[in-house]
Amino acid sequence: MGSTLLHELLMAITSYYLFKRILQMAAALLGTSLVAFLIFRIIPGDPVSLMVGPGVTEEYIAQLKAYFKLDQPLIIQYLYWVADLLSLNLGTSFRYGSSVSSLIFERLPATVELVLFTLMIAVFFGVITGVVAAVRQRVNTVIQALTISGLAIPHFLWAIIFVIFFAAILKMFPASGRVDIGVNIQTVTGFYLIDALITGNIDGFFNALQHITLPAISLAIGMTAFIQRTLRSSMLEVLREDYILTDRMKGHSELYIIFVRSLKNALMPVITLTGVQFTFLLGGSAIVERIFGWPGMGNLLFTAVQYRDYTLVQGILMFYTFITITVNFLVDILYTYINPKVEFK
Amino acid sequence: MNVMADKSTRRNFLSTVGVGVASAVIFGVGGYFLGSSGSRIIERTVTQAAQTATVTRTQTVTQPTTVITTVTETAAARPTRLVIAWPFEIVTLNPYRFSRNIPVESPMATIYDRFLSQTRDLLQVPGVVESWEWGAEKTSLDLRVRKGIKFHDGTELTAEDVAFSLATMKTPPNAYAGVWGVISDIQVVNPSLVRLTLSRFDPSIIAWMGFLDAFVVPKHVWERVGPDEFGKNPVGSGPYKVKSYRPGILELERFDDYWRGAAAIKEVVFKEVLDPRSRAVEVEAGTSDYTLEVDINDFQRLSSLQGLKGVSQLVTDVAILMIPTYYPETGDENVRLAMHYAIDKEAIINNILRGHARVVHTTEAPGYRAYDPDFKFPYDPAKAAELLSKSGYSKSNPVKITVATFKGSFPRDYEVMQAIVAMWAEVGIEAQLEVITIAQHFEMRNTGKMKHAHFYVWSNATGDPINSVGHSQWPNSPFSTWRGLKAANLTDYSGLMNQATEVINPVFLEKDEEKRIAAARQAARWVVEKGLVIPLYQLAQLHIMKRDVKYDPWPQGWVLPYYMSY
Repeated sequence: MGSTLLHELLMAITSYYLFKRILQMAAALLGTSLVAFLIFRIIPGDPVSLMVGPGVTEEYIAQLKAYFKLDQPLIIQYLYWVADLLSLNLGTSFRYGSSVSSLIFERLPATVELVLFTLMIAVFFGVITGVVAAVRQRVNTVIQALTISGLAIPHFLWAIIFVIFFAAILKMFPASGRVDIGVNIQTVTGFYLIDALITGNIDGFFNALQHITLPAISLAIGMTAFIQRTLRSSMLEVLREDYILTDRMKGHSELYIIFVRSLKNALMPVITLTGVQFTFLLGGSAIVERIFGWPGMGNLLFTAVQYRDYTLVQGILMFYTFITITVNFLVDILYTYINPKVEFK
Repeated sequence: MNVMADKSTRRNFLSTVGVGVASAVIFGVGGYFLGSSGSRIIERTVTQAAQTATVTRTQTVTQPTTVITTVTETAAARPTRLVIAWPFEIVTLNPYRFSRNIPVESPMATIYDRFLSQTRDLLQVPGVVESWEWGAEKTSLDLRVRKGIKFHDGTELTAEDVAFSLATMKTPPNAYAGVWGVISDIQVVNPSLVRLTLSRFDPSIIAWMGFLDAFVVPKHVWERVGPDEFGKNPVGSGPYKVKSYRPGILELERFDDYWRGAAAIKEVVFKEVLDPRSRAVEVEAGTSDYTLEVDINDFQRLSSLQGLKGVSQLVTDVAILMIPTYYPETGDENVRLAMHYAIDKEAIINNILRGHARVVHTTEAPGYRAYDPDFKFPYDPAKAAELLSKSGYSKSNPVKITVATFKGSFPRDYEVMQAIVAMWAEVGIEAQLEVITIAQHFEMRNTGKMKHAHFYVWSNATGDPINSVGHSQWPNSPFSTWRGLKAANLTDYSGLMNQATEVINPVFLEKDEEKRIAAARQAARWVVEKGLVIPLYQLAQLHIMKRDVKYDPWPQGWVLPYYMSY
């Protein structure tokens, strides 16, 4: 299994396809860099005024603008930034004075861990309910009703409901943070669940699991509903295919037909959706992070936008774009693994 | 048929089994969580109540019955840790890096000492600097550094550290370098004396030494590790030292050699919880002992809960309406004053802010040095209508203006402005509300693109009029409405700019302190009488804490664990 995937990767690397993708990636990064750069300079908000307190002089404000090269024409500012990017330097945060990459990498693991855990929950329940809804009409009615509520209620509202109900009233789950105060998990990867397991800190693992559960479920509900609906319609289509009829004629069991013969093909759109959702959640988890006091990228981006911290916002957006492009690329490769009929062209 | 029946039965059987197994797994995992979380809640309670947290933790997970025993045994013990659900992001502990409002700097005020301290009545008193003396012409200042202060690494704080800190603070791009730029030379005269030479007289320099970023850092550590690393692993001389710092959580432990005496609580944790509802839940669930800046409704609900108490503390934040005079409508003094007379501030405070504010009549709140208890600007809608009629406006022919406000940046800001718009409508002012962000406000103010009036909250924890009527109203200040007027070369329809400069100049330039404060009082009164600003109310900060936490919140808005105890 692993070797097949590796083989696909190698094939991709040696093909023209990869070259084309790299060009596409570069174009996407260039486009994003332009948008990220321009958008915050177009909308009102002066970062220098937000940086300084009372008591400063006009001369000092001018001095600060010169320090951050904000007194230069936009094109020059952009070129300076792109030159930094090409040397893998995301710049220095206006507000915090720290390097943007160090700020991102301090907070990235928390967000990625939350997003991956969310995906696990969403895919697990989305696939189960999607399959059941496709093959059991009576259950389907119930699942569809749940799905509609899952889609209709936004994730931040679920988050608020969960915090109030499970943390404040029932006191079953913690309201915020990644672990309890005093619980120390030795950092290896930055993902607390994995780090706790690696270091044999079982108590820490369950503590981290408790903390991640509510924010992850809040984010996962809507996504589960999406996956469920996508998989259901995909499954219904596959189940009508001739080869399924042939399998039935051959007397294969229904479980074999559903899980072995149908599901693999029906999963194609789900994979696309999961890839898209991963990148969406990276940025889209901000409000849930805020509600659950989750110290991830969302809060950092929120403050950066609030204070017009250009370099930090630009750095985060570029980073998200890079991740999005990479994930999409990996999803495409995964396609060929799931369905060998798909080829790189 | 038989075959089909057989298959159907087997399929049903298998699917039933499948669903059963899945359910068992789901409920099993869920049940495990419920079970463990139940005991963990108790564990947290014990952790906060007991001094032997680690031991208790282990017992709780494995033997729930032991918990009861432990609780009983340790219930009387004084808690050793205080967890604060903190409403602000903690990104760096470098004290010089970014501008902030007052509460944001509380973690830093816990780790570092300032040159000067401040009392609750906003007076500057000795801190690291135990005395100060102005030189001739008040362009030099001698600072005598207190002996016997230790940094957290055990080294002694000296005049070198004070001089180094000042030099660092005045270096761009540090947030307040512009303020400290007035210091042209810093000289270490001897190990306990620093002499500052100022490029000009600045009466607010003393106030600044007990304000915002005026923290002392150890030169040897800063130079060794650099500012970025220092921001992650800071060393100060304050009452608490950093135990651990990771995104979202700052754990501090008492510095036993603190020069004012060791703090009462052994460990303090600042836990980032940015959402006000979640902060309310934190204290309600018992996972935090203290929080602030909760919604007014939550404050009232939580204050009445057993085990919690609420404290509403008036702070040095004053809500005002800034009124640029580059529109013909607001260039008219009758209109500006009518806008002020028409506002029933008491009603706003009682009905919208539920009493968590206090009416102010100038930019200077009670406790500020230029506060004038004798000056009152009354609510008088009849007078407002009369003034408007003098300018040809009435309810049937209202003056039309646009007002910018925030929504959610300050307690019930938008609701307050909605009420004001309704009050104005009663006298003949038709106002459109436009919601903006704080960033937009700065941009509009600087470029002469403000609306007819802007809601804003002006902080001045120093109490010095320079930082209230001075910088908010002085035409030479980069923070007044005049800045945009000048930058965009707009018309001053009020014709008051030069007079405003003359009236406010002494606040910045007068060397005799008594005369300066008297002039500031006059200036604060004058700008209101001319309708250049409409002071609304002094804000209150809402604190929720466990009933057994003893703490009297500070009017500056700081949260200072050093003054907390159980």
